[in-house]
Amino acid sequence: MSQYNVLNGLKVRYLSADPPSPENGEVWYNSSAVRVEGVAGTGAWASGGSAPAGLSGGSMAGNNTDAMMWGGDTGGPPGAWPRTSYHYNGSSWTSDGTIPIAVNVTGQAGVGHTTAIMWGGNTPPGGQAAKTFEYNGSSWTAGGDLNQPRRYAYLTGAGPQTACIAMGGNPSLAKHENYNGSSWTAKTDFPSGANSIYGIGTQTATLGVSGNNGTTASWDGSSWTGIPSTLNNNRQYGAAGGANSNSAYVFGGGSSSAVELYNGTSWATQPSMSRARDNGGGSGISSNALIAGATYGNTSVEQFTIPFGTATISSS
Amino acid sequence: MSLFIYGTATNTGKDFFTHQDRLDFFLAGYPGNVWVVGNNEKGAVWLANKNGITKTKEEAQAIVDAEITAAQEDWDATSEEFKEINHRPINIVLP
Repeated sequence: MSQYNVLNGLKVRYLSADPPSPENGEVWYNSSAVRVEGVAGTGAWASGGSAPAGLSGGSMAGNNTDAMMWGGDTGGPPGAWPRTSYHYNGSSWTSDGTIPIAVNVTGQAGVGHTTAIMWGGNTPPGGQAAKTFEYNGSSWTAGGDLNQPRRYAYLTGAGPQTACIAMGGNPSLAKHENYNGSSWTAKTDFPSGANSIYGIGTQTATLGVSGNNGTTASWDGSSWTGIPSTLNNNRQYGAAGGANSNSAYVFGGGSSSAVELYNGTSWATQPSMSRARDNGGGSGISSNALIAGATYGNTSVEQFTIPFGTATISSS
Repeated sequence: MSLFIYGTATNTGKDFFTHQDRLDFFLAGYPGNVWVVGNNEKGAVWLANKNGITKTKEEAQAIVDAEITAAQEDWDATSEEFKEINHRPINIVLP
């Protein structure tokens, strides 16, 4: 479980409104509501607004109140794959931008729909697996090319648009590189190559999780340290999200609806999604705002929250 | 008494099932709009409120089987490239 003093120090923050994506265990004083508030309770997955399409290998960035979804395979020829990206506001989806190329299974990152970023992916025939594209709220534009082409980037990635992390991809890559908003820089390889490596956190506090074999390691900005593997394998083509390497969720993959949380020490089973999700995308920059995307032939979306708790402090 | 109620209902999206629903009773969704919910008052009320149609376990399983079979046939007919990034749908046995 997240520890308040580790996440936020010992002072209770004085805020005029609730923070947008608080972590489980976080406490603050809401001066408008005149009370102490915090996140504490039992998390669960609820249904979200149905996606405009159920595609294979769509990608997603953001969280369950501000997400972007793009790309994906209709099962037909690539020329028929959709290029419209969609913005989710917590309840419904709206067309928002056109991706430059028809692509599926791209890398993905970004904290919200106006800062989504994608790289690599599958664009038959030929492919542009080294390309990066950034969204600015109105259009997708080219960023710096990857050093390592990542065809089938498999929903990897973490961090904001100007400081994101790429790992894994076809064929079974361990290559790791970081983006600074204009160019990618090669870093130390992840300990295990995989088509599907989930990245959670920031460039200096990353959790890498192999969707193929469960190998898990944390990155502190300079080196990888092995930590316990996930409880359930194989999670290939699942999704991940969370705040940092001490608060990281993996969910779905294969025929699984199972969810796990890493708290900095160990993995623990969390409330499961209502149904298995394979190759459906998913993201979340906070432990309290995960979103699991639509899958091939299934437009349903689920979102994870942990409810607020409140306490009123009286002088008497 | 069975542990579960079986039925079909169309997922209408947001708030089709809520955070509180998930805390109140078991709920799992399957292909064919099949839902399995805990056999308690709240589970039964949820299915009724969603205009759900109650099925026997065997009926629900048959719906899921038909959906999976169709999905498997669909998958078998797709390109090798599609198969490379999509698992073949597996058979599901309802709880």
